[in-house]
Amino acid sequence: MRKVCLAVAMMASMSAQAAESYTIDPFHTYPNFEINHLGFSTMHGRFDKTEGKLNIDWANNTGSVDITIDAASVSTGMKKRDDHLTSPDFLNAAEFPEITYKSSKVTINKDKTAKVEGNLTIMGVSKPVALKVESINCGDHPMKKGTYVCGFDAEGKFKRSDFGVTYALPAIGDEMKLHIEVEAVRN
Amino acid sequence: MDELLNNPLFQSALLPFVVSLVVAVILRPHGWVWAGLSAVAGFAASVYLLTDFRFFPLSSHRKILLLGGGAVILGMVLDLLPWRRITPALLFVAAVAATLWIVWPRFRAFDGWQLWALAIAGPTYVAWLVVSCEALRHKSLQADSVVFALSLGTGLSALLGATALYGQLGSAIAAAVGARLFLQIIGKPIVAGSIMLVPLVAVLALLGLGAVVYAKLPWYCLISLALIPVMARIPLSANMPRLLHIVISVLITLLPAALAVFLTWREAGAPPL
Repeated sequence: MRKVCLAVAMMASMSAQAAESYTIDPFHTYPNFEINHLGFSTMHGRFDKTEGKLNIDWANNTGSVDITIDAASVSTGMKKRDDHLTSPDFLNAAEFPEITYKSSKVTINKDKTAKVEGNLTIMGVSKPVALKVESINCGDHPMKKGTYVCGFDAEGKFKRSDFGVTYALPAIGDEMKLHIEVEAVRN
Repeated sequence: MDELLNNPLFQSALLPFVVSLVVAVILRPHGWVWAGLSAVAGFAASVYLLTDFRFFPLSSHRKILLLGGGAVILGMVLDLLPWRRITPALLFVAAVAATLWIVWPRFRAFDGWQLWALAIAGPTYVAWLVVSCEALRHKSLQADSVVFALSLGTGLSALLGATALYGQLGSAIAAAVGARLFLQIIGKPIVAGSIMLVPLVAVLALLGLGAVVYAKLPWYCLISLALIPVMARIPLSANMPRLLHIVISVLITLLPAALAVFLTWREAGAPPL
């Protein structure tokens, strides 16, 4: 019986070691978006301020994500348009300052890709949004000794109308594509 | 058809004007309590197209529209009340409570003088407009002029101040009241009553304050907009021809509205399209 308990304790210890926690690097993590503009072109923008945490369980190829985006940090290269995007017409950043994405269902594949099924919350409305993760790369930071970093690109799409962001539909597109470049430092 | 229903000019100008005009013609013979509903109906038609009457997530503009719905009932009750002495106090308390509900989420974001300005100046602005405009309920032309000027001033300022939705809502009220001014011009004025003034002025006052708090409308524009009810009280000669009387009454109230739009344009520039 003592041997069984010892074995279980050792396995639990190994599992705990395999699960690693990471903190998002805000200077190398930017959610980018694409949206159709009046049927003419695709407009690109991004959010400049993002923070959050990742947990990766390498032993079980699973993980969790908790990301918070500052809605007022939206940037399209034109201040007047950014003011409009943060206004009640779109993101209503003064009333709903945070956009969040949370998932505890991350499936990591052997080919360094992953599937993330989580909930995106915009203006207080939460809806499931899946992200496809490409090319998970981890290793020691070449310029910061002793710092272990994981990075990847994720993409997904959703309809803004699902979150109550209905202004100027359908002239300005409903479907938004997300591209998130993420780097996270192991704690 | 969808293209027409999604056209901002149809949503915020043509539809509220036509609905208000038709309802006014229908209600005109019924007099006091009901006639003021014409502009409210025109605005409600516009709100339906702009929001589908969806009230979740409960953001500031949806709260404002809900309060507008409640204010219609309050206005109707005030029109039916036999005693008027408590009306200003009642409206003042209601306006302060409504304003605090709208700006409450921003209290956490402010401190110091900004917090006090929001807590005191915001409710004062809304209460002043509601109480001073409601007092014009017997004066059809002044009531229509004041709401027309306030809606144009608030709507265009909000549009320039980077919230087109607020701008469209303000413009819709301008179009709805424009129909009533049209009836004034052709010699068939209809009474306004509290049923029109309380909800429409409350919505406009809260939209103006909301555009300051939740968008980029410069705060000092509200000072200019607050002068509109004062301008409406400037006495005009009773011997003036009717058409000239209407034009001057509208132009006088439009002066502070135009100043507010100019101040916003100088600060914010043209809206991005």
